[in-house]
Amino acid sequence: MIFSSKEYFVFFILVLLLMMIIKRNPVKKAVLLLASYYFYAYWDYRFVVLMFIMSLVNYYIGLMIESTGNSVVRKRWLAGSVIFNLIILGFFKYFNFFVDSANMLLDNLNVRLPLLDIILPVGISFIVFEVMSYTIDIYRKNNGSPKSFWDLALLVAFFPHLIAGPILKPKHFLPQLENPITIRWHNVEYGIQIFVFGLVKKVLIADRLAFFIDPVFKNPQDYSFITIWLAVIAYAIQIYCDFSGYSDMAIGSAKCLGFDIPRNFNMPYISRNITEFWRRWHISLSTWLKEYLYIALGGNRKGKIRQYANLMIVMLLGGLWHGSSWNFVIWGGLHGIGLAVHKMYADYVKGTTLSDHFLYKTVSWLVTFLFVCTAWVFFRSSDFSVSLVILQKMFMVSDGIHWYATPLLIAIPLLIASHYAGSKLKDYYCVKLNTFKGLLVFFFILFGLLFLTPVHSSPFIYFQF
Amino acid sequence: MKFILKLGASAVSALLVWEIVLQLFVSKMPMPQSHPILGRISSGGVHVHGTEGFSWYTTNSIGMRESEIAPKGSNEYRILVLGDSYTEAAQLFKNKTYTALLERMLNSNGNDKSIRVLNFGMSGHSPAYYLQFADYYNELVSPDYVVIQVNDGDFSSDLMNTNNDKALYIASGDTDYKIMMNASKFNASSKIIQKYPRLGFITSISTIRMAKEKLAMLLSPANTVNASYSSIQAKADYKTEEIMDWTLRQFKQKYTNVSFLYLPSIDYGNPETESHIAELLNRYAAKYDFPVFNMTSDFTSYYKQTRQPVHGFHNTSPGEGHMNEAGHELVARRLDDFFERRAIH
Repeated sequence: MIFSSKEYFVFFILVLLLMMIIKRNPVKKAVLLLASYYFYAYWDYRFVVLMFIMSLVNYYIGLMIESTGNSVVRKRWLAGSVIFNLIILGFFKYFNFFVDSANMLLDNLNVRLPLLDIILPVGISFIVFEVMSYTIDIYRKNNGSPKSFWDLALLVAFFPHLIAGPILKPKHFLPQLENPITIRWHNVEYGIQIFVFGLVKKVLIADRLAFFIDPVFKNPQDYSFITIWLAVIAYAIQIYCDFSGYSDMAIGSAKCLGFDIPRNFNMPYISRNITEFWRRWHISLSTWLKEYLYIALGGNRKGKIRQYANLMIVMLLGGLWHGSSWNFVIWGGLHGIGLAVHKMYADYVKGTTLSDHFLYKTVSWLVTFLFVCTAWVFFRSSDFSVSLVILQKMFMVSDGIHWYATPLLIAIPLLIASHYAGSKLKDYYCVKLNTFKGLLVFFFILFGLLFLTPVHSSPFIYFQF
Repeated sequence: MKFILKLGASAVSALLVWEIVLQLFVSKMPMPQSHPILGRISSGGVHVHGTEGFSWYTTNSIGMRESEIAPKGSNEYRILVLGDSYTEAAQLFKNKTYTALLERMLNSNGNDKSIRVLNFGMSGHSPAYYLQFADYYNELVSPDYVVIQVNDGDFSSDLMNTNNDKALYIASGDTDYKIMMNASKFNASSKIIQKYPRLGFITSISTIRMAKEKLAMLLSPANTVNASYSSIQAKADYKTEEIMDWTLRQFKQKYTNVSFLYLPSIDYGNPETESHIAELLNRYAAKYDFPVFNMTSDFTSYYKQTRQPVHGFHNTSPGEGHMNEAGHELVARRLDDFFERRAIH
């Protein structure tokens, strides 16, 4: 069930009520865990067992790592965990991709490897990264295993973040499970506002823009140069509002239940360079890649050349994590190149006053934004050939249907207004829902959602990952 | 108690704000009323249409997008245009509709008479309506010429009421076809409002109307896709030919100087596709000596030359939905050609 559905509304209210009614904390946690498994089963009941087994195996390995001081043994257990998790991810997500790619290479030899009819478990990429961070943190002695396996099971299955993140850090979330689950009005008030804020971004901005973006990306050859550029910019806005909207709904749901989930986005499109962009975009993923992949590869500790190579490797794998398609690898590669180039460039301008100049800041922002939008073309396109058509149309003036989508003109000021509201929420300022002003704002937004909701809602983009 | 009062006051205040916003920019229409002959019509007043294209316009006392119909002047030549939402053209301001453009073109051609082109388009109407109201229209307007705008649906689903959403439609009678009336759809209002007429104003409140529509959509089991007009495939069978023959024969009896304006659905991915309905219309119109203005080649040529479809708007989707300004311009020019060649006495 998606967050913007009536089924989720009913489900969440029930869970909230149960958390309020049930007195004993272990029972509350059990109910929350069952509710989370039910939430996952609603998507596909077949993989509930898989999620349980992954939690159990990684918990056991965590205990084994903790129980020995022998670094070789610890490393072997860690390797076992990583291999186990990557096999699951590799099989479900990448088996057919690699077989297909191999078949392209073997085509000349008339060899064709068989493809399997594999169903991708929803949220598998997020689940795998989360359990891997659990065992790696135990190995690094950043945190210990929880007293009860069920706490880890709840961390993995916690329904607000289960399907599309944010990726939770065990050392931040597990301590929260040690406290009694208490429903407080202040948390519910705050959580509702964050949730509604996310819903506005998803329903009023992302879903409306989809009506414009989908036909253009489906048949880009029919549209003019200007329309293509508008569609690319619109997609940059759509994916941000869709994903950050989902994250906000996850954060808001968790907050209502008394849990704090870290923010996953911080106004990424104000970034003036790619490095800053990745500090603001999908923060939980970029943090995970930095802490568990980039640093493991050596980070910036082995010279400049190795640093740039590490950035490329991390972003290529980060791209591949998003989907089993060469388009995602190209997208990741572009960002890797961008990061490496920025690192080289930053070393050059460090210590100069150039970076303080208004014109420099504006040009930096524009170049970064255009680069990110161009990279999104590969992320969105159905295949490489479509990406090429769009890029060609973007950089060579061409004829076609002029479509100056009105929703885009409305989306931009709405996005700016919602960013302002969001920055207020970040500062823990929220309207009081027991005042006239607070209720007026709340009802205004609620009715707006009712009147302006598109007929057809689009699925969350990141659900496919 | 205080909290409940605050809750109510804030909800009402929020609704008031949205009512203003919706009425100015999205959707406003006067409340419907019952006309003894025309059935359910909107009362005269201001309409705002913002969900496809954008326009503000007024309707007269019979719900038509025209000023009040005065008695015909001695030096006046009246062209009555009957049609559905494509002629009503709520998506465009009046001066961009093909009827207004045609009137302007004809009056600038140096004709002796003052030409009046009357837009009697009404969303949802079909040939059954034009036949049913023929006597009333003839008496009210005294037209010198009648243009009947039709499309594929007019001789299939709309005419035969396949979707059960028409107040008037054609069905088999004892010996021939006849016009049937669905009384519940023909009447102005729901049973509740018929019982309590003072509640009629509710239907003109935009927030209530839109909330009702959206809640119905949100609570329905699955999102149903409203087929865009361009995707409707007319299924012509033997009945279509019989009904078309009968319908055109009725038009011959009911109106003098009739022509048909055929507005095709264009598949912009494959614009050469021909409609079977258009072919039948040409054949039967020739039988009764009606000129037919088939806009297919005009629309497809325009698209090939300019790559701009004549359907769709910036706030919807190019190539889908109603005709845009370009489409109306093409229709007006085509009709202008015809009337210029024909002497207007």
